[in-house]
Amino acid sequence: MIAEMIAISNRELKHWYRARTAVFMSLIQPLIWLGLFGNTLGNAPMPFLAVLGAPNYLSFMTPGIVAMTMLFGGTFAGMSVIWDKRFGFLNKLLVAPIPRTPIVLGKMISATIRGMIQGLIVLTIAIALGVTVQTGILGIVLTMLITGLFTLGLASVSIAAATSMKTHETFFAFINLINLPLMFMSNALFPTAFMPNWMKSVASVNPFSFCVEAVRMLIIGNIDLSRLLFNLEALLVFTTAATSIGIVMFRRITK
Amino acid sequence: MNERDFRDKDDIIEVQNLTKIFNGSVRAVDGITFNVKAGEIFGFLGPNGAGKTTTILMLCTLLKPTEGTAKLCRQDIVQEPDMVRSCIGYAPQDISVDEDLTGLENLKLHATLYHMPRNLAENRIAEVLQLVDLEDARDRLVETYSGGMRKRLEIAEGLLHRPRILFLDEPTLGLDLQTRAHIWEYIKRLNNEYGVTIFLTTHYMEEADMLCDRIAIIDYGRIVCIGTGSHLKDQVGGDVIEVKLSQTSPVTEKVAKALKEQPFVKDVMVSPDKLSLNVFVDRGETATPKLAGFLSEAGLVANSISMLRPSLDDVFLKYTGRRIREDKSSPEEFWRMRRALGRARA
Repeated sequence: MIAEMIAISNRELKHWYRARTAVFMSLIQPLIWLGLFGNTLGNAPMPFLAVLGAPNYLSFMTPGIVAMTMLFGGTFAGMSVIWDKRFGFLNKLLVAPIPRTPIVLGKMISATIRGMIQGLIVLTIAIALGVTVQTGILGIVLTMLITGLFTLGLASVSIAAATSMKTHETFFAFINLINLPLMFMSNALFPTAFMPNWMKSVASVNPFSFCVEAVRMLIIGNIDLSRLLFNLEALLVFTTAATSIGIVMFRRITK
Repeated sequence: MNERDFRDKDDIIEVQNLTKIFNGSVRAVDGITFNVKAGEIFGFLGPNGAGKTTTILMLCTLLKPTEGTAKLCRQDIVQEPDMVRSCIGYAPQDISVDEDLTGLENLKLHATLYHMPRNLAENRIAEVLQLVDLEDARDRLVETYSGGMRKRLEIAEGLLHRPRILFLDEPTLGLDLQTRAHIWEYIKRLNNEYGVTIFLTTHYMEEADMLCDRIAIIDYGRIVCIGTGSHLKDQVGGDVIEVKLSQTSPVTEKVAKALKEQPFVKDVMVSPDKLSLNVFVDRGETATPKLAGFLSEAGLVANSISMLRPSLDDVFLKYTGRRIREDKSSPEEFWRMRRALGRARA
């Protein structure tokens, strides 16, 4: 079961790193956000920066952009299910005498690995632009684990949705529908203090916020341990639930 | 596993009243019953949409039958899908090897899915690559393969784990004549050298004729007749005289009816476009002049009159009243379509 899972995950990763232009382009976007947006708001008045609780806007924003990279990468994971259905590759996997769970787990894990690598690259870019990770190497390792967990959850949601969709048009519509609201109704770009109450309550249950807040503590360095643990637990609950649903949905269409 | 265990005329596929109903009313496969013996090349011949692929999907455990049962290698497809899966290989109609991997990587992935130990996998991969002549191309991305190469890789994959039964859904669809002849050769070789039972579907008559030990003709989800190619053709009986008319005429139907009454005629079929008649007779040599006389008296102008040995198409015609219509799309069109899809994917 492990061997099949690794083989399938390997295949997906090969698809990814062989499409070099796609990898490159997926990194341009965070670069633009960090380089342009981060610097523009760097000139914001001091009171604004004071609310952030961060030395500068770039440091405040970096966790948001790392998580954004996870979001866009993770929610795309279901695409491989759509393509495999379309091109009959899924049938080839299903006609083999192997259980269904390692197939879907392989897809989820490859998305997670991909996300962690992309997250690390974005973080490196941020560091190059002058952001300091206050908690050092341990902080970076923890950041990777947190973003990995978050990506696994997102990839599972995406795969669960893809099981019931036939065309990539439908799937793109779905991604567009969830990505931007998830990102903007969170603490990624602005502190929730600026938001109206209703949006605050959305942001407080948005898994995106859990990821950003946890990573932000690690980068800025003012760690509130109970809050950090709460964020981790919340992410864990989200990811466990999403992964279970993803597996169940996938098994249902492939009985 | 010894694939020759099943030799000697055991029934390796037993299908009982297999039925698939889609959307509550469309009977894609309508109560088919047949057996396939170990070591046979068995063909499902029928027009597009006759239920061939649906049948294969059910036998390969990818689709649940609505009614009926089937056993492969004595294992029930619904009760024991994993047992069935481990004794079959499947090459789907749409080529589904992974274009973004090399040929070798595709085969290695396949070997893992079938739990093959590394050494065995390496030997088998070398063996199947040689069998389908892809040794030189093994390290190239499948993206760069031609249609025939992809199909050969697909077949190589289907064989890698030495299945007892290999399912080939339209093995030569969209390929040019020369490549088709090559694929036929490979299929025969597998059957001879490894004793693999082969179940294939096709809508090409000559393919069924060339390859299959036995053929089932399927139409609207039902098996209309089953047997060896020559047995089926004997059923048509005698010869077929094909009359091509110069133009449609309002009296064609009436003449055909009158012709059917003639003592030298067994049956008459009018083509849907009303431009040709197939006249079934016992002895073509003596019937042809009589037929020519009859037609000119009736006022039908024939462009040509030719005598044919019955073909599988005539068998199909005899049982269904229609011809198997060849796929209109040319191989070029088929590949253009696939390439367009491939680009959309990148």
